[in-house]
Amino acid sequence: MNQTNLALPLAEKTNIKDWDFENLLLKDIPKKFKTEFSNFFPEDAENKLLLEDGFIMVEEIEAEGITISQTVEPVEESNRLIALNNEKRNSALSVVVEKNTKATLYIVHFSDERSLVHQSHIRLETGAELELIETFMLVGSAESTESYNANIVTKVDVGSNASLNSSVIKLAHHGLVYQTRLTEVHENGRFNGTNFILDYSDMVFEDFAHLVGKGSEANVATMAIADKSQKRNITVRVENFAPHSNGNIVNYGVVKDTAHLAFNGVGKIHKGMNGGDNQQETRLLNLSKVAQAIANPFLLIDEGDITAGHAASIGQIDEEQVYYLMSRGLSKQESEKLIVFGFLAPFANKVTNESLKEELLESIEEKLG
Amino acid sequence: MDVLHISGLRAAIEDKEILKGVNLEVKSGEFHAVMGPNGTGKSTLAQVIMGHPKYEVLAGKITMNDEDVLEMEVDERAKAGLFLAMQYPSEIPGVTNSDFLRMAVRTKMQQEDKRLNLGAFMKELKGKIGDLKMQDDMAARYLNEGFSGGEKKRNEILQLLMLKPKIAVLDEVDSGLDVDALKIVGDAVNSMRSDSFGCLIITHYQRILDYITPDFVHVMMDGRIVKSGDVSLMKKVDSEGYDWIKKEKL
Repeated sequence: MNQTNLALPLAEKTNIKDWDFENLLLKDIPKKFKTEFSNFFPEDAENKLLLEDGFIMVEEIEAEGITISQTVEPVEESNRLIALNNEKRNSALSVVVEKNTKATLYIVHFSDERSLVHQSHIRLETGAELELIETFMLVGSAESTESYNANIVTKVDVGSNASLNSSVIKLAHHGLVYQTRLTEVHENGRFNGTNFILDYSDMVFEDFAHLVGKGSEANVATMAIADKSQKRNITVRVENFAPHSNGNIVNYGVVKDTAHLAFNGVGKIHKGMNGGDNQQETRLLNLSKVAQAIANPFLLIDEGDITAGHAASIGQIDEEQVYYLMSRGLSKQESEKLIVFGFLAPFANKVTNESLKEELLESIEEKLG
Repeated sequence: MDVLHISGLRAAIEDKEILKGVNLEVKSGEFHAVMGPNGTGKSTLAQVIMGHPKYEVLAGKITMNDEDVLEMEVDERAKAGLFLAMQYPSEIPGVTNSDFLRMAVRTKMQQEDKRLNLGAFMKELKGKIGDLKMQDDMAARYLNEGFSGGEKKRNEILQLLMLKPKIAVLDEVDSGLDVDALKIVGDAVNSMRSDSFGCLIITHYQRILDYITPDFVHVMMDGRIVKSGDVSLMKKVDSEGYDWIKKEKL
């Protein structure tokens, strides 16, 4: 398809017109082992995958019923950047979890020699349960702190009575990123998506869930910290296409320096989808007088017999709180950091995996400086 | 011996002068009480000693062992050995009481070139929570969040006991406490009495002074300390109110 006929992603509240998504470094490179990154996998991890610049370098799957391949059917081109991904893709991964299989899978994407243009398809068959922890480490060349732009498309299919807990962790990256995920949840299926956006990139990040089966559920929680001159636009959209389906969006953000962080939350309940529920909550903390923190919630409802709601708040650090902590001997910087940690605590406490939690807290600390 | 010295202190909030020349000296080993009707500047005095950013010092001096307190940041005042039990402590969601206290105690110990022993810290914390008859989950709860008025006051005293300052200012720790809690808080403050601890107790009611006997009593009116004496002054105020002092001053 001709990309130019398609529009850019909507990315409301951020002007991305001049963002150079097409500036991708796409050279051919030989498959070679770079490093093991064992610290990204917990010691007791039974199932793990490491992709380096698109090549599968570690594939250790002990569980029965998980099929890994690098063949994917191109996804529907709903915007120019997805078309770009289909055309230029240099990394692909398909994970199929068979009926009633229960497993935990760790995936690490590492890239340092070229742009990552990646597509993942994750499919859970009926009754399957998967805990998926996916880390993106795009570090760029050794000579420069800059890394290459990236384009990442993920398609997820949660079968009936299946359950996916998916954590996406973004670290280190300094380039420009378009990352999008479309999840379909079938009858009585459940999707819990948790996104930790702690890298250094400018980005458009989309997480869309379609509740297509009766009694299906999607809970999408996203935490982002934007500092320095970072610009990030995050859109989480949950649509009820089936009766008695439940959608829940939670966004937590911290903005520093001259950064820009916009959270668009969209809940949509289609006509006839009675008994549905769609809720969202956005909490932003702005640590700077010049940074932009934007919460932009939408609720679109075409059905009467439903429940829905949204809450949003944008706050600053409370001077009284800083004074109180300082009066106990903590420095101003320590006090502010503690207050921000406290703000993010309800989110960080969602993580039950202790080693992952530690990793995340370290990254948060690094971002907060 | 540690000495907190205040002389000719004038301070304002939002351009309104509240303190109009306060002179006061608190030494370690001494318990002072500052009494007075509402709105006379007692709490302002407490906040100015600690360095609340909303108050502006117009004139005068505060020194701690001859060092200029007014030049210090709030945390430096704490490090110099000052402590303020606040009338309205802030709530800090997401930060547990024990994490916060551990950070504060560790900071204090680092200053003394000591290392925090986590086991000993937890044991001491648990003991003090027990002494103050606070609920067991107090350490795990978020700092002051959703605490009742009485729980907040006890939590201030818990911090006082854990941080062991040289000179403490207690700003209306008695308000919001029932009789049983008053006795517990009174006992806790009395337990701190030593040659190396001084205390300035600010109170509107005299109730807390039924449990803590001050060595010196000061009456504050209209931004100044207008009368000082021993515990007999407190008793006279208790029975006769403040009017006689007003008349005396006219």
